[in-house]
Amino acid sequence: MDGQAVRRSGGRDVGEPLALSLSAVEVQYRSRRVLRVESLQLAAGSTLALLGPNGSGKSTLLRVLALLERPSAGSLTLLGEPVRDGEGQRLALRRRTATVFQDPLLTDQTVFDNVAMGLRFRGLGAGQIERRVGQWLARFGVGHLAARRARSLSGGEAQRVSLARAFVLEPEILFLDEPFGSLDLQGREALALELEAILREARIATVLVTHDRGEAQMLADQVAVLLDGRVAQCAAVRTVFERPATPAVARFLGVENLLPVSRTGPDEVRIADRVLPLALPPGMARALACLRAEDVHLSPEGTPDAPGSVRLTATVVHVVPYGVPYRVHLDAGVPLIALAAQRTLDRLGVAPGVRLVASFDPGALHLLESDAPDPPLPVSHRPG
Amino acid sequence: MDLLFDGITHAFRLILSGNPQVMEIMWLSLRVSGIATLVSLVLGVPLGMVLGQSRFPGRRLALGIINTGMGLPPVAVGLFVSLFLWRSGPLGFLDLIYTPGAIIMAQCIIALPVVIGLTAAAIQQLDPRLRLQLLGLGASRAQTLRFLLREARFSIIAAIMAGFGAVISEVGASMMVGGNILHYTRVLTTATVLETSKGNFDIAIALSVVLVGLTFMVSMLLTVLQQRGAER
Repeated sequence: MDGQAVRRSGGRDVGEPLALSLSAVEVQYRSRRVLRVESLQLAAGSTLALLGPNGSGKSTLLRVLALLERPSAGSLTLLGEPVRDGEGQRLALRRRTATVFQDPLLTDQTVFDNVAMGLRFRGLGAGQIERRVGQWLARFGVGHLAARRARSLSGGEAQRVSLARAFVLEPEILFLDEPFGSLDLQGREALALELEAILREARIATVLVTHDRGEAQMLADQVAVLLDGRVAQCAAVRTVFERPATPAVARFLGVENLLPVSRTGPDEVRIADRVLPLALPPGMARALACLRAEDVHLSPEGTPDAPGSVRLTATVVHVVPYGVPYRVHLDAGVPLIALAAQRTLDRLGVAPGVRLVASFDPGALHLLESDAPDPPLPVSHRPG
Repeated sequence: MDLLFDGITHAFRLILSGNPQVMEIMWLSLRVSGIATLVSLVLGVPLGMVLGQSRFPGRRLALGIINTGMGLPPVAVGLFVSLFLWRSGPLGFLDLIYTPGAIIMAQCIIALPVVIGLTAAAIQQLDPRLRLQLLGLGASRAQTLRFLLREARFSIIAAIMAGFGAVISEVGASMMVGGNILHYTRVLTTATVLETSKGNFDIAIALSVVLVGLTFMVSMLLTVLQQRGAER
């Protein structure tokens, strides 16, 4: 029996082993479809981020992958085993994984007992439990809290305990559903950095659900962008961020400028009132050009040597503080957004009504088919 | 006022001297209501968990019926149980009418909805994601239920107290199915009614004091159990 199974899986897959793969999975609540994913794979030892806005189905997908919810249709393979219907196999597979949710969901026991819980479910001996729990509590910097009652912890401490409770199981696949969602910005960054180090060291295949692009960038190798219950793009982190596949993905990823581009000649396009020597792919008459705000330079009107070969005359519409830099909203024939530091604003005397030169390098543009249809699907507004 | 004062004085004399008649009645009450509560606990907690946790068609109706059952008049329960247990009734062959067993049966019917309803409410109050979290840490279904029960233990012990309180204090059902037979089915409540009607106020008051004291002691015991480990 074993030999047969090995031969079969060996014949199917010659690349790196997959921790997880899924095909044609669908989830329906009553008659409303909230999720439809054709295919998704997680390579052993890598981290996949499911990135999407609230209600995009990413948490639902995570629950399906973690065998916490049965899909209405489709099939799943975890750790080389096709998942069947029987609860016995699902439990056995679940015990090779661990899940962490946004809220720590600790039970009313001591910290030690909380972290020991999963090991006790698996029937481990007391000595081994003591050793492993101690080790992982220390690893997450909460060793001194072992005897405390879980209810008395702060939010940050509780989330660390919750992570330790999953890592102590030494899972083969880790499922993290917005694991920093309950923390403030500072705690979130600190914990994300620690988790990044631990994940890199432990090399556990991980599925991370997040709506935060920074978290995905920091922790993931691959990103699947979920929009309205579908995977709109799934690729390496850099690819997704630099070359979003559709306008909807670009908008979700926070690309500030999506400029309409139209073909005016064989190797010529028009953006705003400027004609540029730029070739659109054959068969594409109109396009949207993604342009990140940080790639737009601002110079005083009449500057002959503004950086970048595309120069548009623009009027400042308004200025919005945005973290440390400011977002400058411009009218350049098309709406345009630039990022600028306080010093730049002072130097240029930026204020509503002021005329400037907004310039960029054509290499900063990423072209998208403008009528690339966003997959139609009734939007579900379930949280997460 | 004199009557009340004399009654209470006499009551304590009866209790402190360990009056055999009062003691006998007290033990019977405790035994009958204790067993009824225990049976309701064993049946009611699992049913309450199912009702509180799962979704099935007719669940709302079931909850509605249970919640109605929580306010069931003991006299009505007594009447229906009597109808079933009378010689000519469908359960007449059991020969239970006018026995402590009949009282236990009636009291179970009174306590069961209380335990089921309050357990269901307690389970529903838990964070629904806790179940997923336990499963996500590798708990089997049985282990999940055990932990949910543990998380809801304060409310479930409260449910047991409510169930015991309902049966130890009811008089209608005990009277109708037990018959208030001396040395056999006479419990604290039925004895109190009888002694009051006979004008033996001192004994009636003594019995009431015992009843209240008993309820207090059982509740205290459960409260201690409930609050153990509640401090941080």
